[in-house]
Amino acid sequence: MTKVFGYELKRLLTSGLFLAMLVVNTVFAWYILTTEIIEGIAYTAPFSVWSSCAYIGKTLPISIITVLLIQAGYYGKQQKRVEILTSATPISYAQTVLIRTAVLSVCFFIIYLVIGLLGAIFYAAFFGYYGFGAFILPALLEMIPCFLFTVGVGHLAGRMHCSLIYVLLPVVFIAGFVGGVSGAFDLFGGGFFSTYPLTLPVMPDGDPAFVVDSVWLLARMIYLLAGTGAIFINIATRRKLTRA
Amino acid sequence: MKIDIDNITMIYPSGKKALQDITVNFESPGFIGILGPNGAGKTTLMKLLIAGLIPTKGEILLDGKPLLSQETQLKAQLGYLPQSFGLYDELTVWQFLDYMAALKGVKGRKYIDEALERTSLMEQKKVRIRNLSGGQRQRVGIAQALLGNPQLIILDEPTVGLDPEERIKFRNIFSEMAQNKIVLLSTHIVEDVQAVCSRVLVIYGGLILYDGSPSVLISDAAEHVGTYIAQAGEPISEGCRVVSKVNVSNGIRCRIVAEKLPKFAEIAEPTLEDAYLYCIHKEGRE
Repeated sequence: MTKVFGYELKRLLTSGLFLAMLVVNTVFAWYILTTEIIEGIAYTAPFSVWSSCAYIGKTLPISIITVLLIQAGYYGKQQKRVEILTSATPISYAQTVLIRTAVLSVCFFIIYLVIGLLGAIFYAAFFGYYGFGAFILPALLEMIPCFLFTVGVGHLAGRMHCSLIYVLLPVVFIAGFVGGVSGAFDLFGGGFFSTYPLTLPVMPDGDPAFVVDSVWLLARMIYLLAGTGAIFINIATRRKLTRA
Repeated sequence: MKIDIDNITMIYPSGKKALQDITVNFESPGFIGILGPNGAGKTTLMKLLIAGLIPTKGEILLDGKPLLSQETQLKAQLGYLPQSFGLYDELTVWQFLDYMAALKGVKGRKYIDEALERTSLMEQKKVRIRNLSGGQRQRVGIAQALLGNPQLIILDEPTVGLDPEERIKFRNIFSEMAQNKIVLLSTHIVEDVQAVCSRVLVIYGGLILYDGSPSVLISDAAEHVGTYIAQAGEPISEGCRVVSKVNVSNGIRCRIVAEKLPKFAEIAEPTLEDAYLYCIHKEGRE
């Protein structure tokens, strides 16, 4: 399956949509850095873990929209016409879904490699700060559940009807930019990390210590399990829904 | 390989009855032509054979075991060319075949090169699929069906979009492949079936009207095919079905099939096309 994954990845990396959205993500990330993060989030330093988590949270909606747009291609008309041929091969639906999820993961990883690199350049150039290592684990906790949840829901929606993925796009946009679920259950975290530090005591260095709410961790776990569950439900119910 | 279709009925969720109590067997080697008008149930039969549909009633056995329980084994030995399909336009011909070979579990460049040679696509192997003509795309479809020497080849209108020379070339390739395999060919081009198939199925309205050799089908139509010269605007005699009309110096030469030919018609030697139309006509279906 490595070869199939390789070709699927090649198709992604050479697609105009991916390259265009990568540019959009980069420009948007730079805008967030230079207009919001530069001032520090919730009265913390711009290079605090809180600010870096807010940076990731604020860029997540656009990157998730990118992933959903690419995912929509997997359920679109052209793909369905190719599937007439591929469905007559021994590859199982489960393998297909897992390969697609892996390709979407690479797409997401590349976007965050660029966004992360941009953040590193920003911190180094503007503040001479190089301690990025502390940002990685909180960022992963923020990103991975969000990615898996939306991809899982996207797979289910796309299999029912391709247009349902397009319905998810404004939902993500509204939840990310207008205001969706607040507090610990904020899927992206941009809102949570902008307000939660305000409730914590300030340490001698001027910033609150980076201690996340256990409810936030629970919420991340729920999103992670729900996304993974959606992927497996999609696989398990495939035959019944499509060939009856 | 042996496929037994036992009393299959297929009713779609919309309520459309596509096949009714079909029982038929296929055994290798065999080159079977499937004839029938649009909506007869040919494509449904093919989708059932590739495990793309679950029958409403009945069972399909592959070498004596239920086909659905051997889906992976079936697909590992299957070459399938549907009537309508898509390709990845961004890949080259070679890359697409390499991709399909990986999906089929076919290893080795030689199979890809062989399929390219057989379909005369060697010169286009580095061309992106988006730059191919309709006929070349069809040839890519045929090439992917031939990958890996499959034991069961199912071809639904394979020669659509090909020029006459290519059509003849491909039907000969299919014929060669049928020496030790099962090849099912669904087509509207009766001439292709006549040229290469050892067995023909006539499907109409979800029923098999005929299953046997083309020569027997043709002999069944003897005395039921005739020609006569008609004048413009002259109505067709009742009970006759016109096969073809050709303008000649003294009017229009009509070729007809009928259970009982009119007295003025001159009996003609039937072709497979005449026989096919007579087969449908005599059942009172057209």
